[in-house]
Amino acid sequence: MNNATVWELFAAISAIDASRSSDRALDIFQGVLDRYGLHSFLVTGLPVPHDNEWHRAILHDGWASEWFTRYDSEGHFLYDPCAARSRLTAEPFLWHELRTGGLTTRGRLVMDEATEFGMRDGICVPIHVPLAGPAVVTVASDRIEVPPGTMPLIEALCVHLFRKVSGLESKSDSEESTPLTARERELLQWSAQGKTADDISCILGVTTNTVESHQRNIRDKLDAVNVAHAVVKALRRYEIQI
Amino acid sequence: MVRIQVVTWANRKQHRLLLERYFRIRYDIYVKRRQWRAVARPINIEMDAFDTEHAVYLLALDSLGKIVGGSRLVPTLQPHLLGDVFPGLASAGPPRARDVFEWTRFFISPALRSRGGSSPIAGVVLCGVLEVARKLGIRQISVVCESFWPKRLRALGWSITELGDVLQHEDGDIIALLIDVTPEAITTTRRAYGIREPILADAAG
Repeated sequence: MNNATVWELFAAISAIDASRSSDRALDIFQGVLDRYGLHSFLVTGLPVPHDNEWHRAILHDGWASEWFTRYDSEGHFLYDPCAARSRLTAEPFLWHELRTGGLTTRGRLVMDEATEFGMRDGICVPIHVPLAGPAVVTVASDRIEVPPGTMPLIEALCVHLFRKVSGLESKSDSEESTPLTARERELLQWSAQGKTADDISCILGVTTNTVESHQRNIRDKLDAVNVAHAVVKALRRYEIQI
Repeated sequence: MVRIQVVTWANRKQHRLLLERYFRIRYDIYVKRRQWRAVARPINIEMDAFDTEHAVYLLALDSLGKIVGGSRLVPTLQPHLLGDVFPGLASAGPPRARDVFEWTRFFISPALRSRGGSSPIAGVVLCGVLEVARKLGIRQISVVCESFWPKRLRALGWSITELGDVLQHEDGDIIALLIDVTPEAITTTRRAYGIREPILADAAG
């Protein structure tokens, strides 16, 4: 993983957290996207597919307006495979990965039209935090290149943006909270390097259940919504390093 | 002894843990048991687009504070299920008014459902819905429900209007109703379930 990229993303996450308004947070996010040549993004809650008024759940519309108009007039939301997968999964994914899983004819039409509007590929970061409905931060462009190993930080960037923009209160990173154990730090260090629970169980020679149980404790201690979020908080508390 | 706890945006912080348990129970019921595909998700919390600051939750708690049933009321001037997702169920259009709320997510804890007959907890939640509605000045309640409900509610003495035809839906046949909130319906429901007094301890009348 390229250190400059990592620190840039990490700095952006901190800046989003520190920003006083959601507009400021969105500017910072946009700034990061610009550096990677990504031009469009959307932050939205995900009502059920049949919801005619789904747009009320949009927290920030950074799509090209022609695309938004097209998407809406064609009723794409009901068939959008990105929305469908984001409701069901907690893991970030790339738009092109949807094609390998097989799309419905109508779902393929949504993706093909997006391509025509200059969005050949994209990243979806599904947001599933306690006490909020499903949501997604999605970023698109004619070309997406995610620097290797940065996906956890990109996920964290999106989660933090969502928290800021949605106005969900977050507890401050209080200093008196319980420190991580050596084992928890070791585990989180691997997560910070993009390893999954399965990978870590192999590396450490323990069961996946044990890894997941550690991760639960880590999330509780850090008041983090997921592992990516825990990584960022632990970095900030200097409990782990990249 | 089962009582109804009302949770709103205003008192949600006091009841944070209770609310979290409530959304987990909803996941258990709607996603795992009833397999509503539209609300499935990777964390065991079921929340939809209408769980907003406008929602009013009725939680039926037993003497140990365990959630045994519940319901949700959402103002029809705000986004709601009949208005946004199933407007076709109301042939003259979904009713929207300050004193009309929509009723959704009526459930009884699966462990307490009785075979064949109606669970006594159902009586508590049904009375609770009417009492809370009276207390909040709600005149009518709209609801999207399974098609067996009109018969069941009429048998309890409720005054209801069917807003449209039955729709065959992947999660079961559904219909939209408009319910009048009347003192008579409260009286007959209490009688049907052998409930002697108001469910809400602090309910006036």
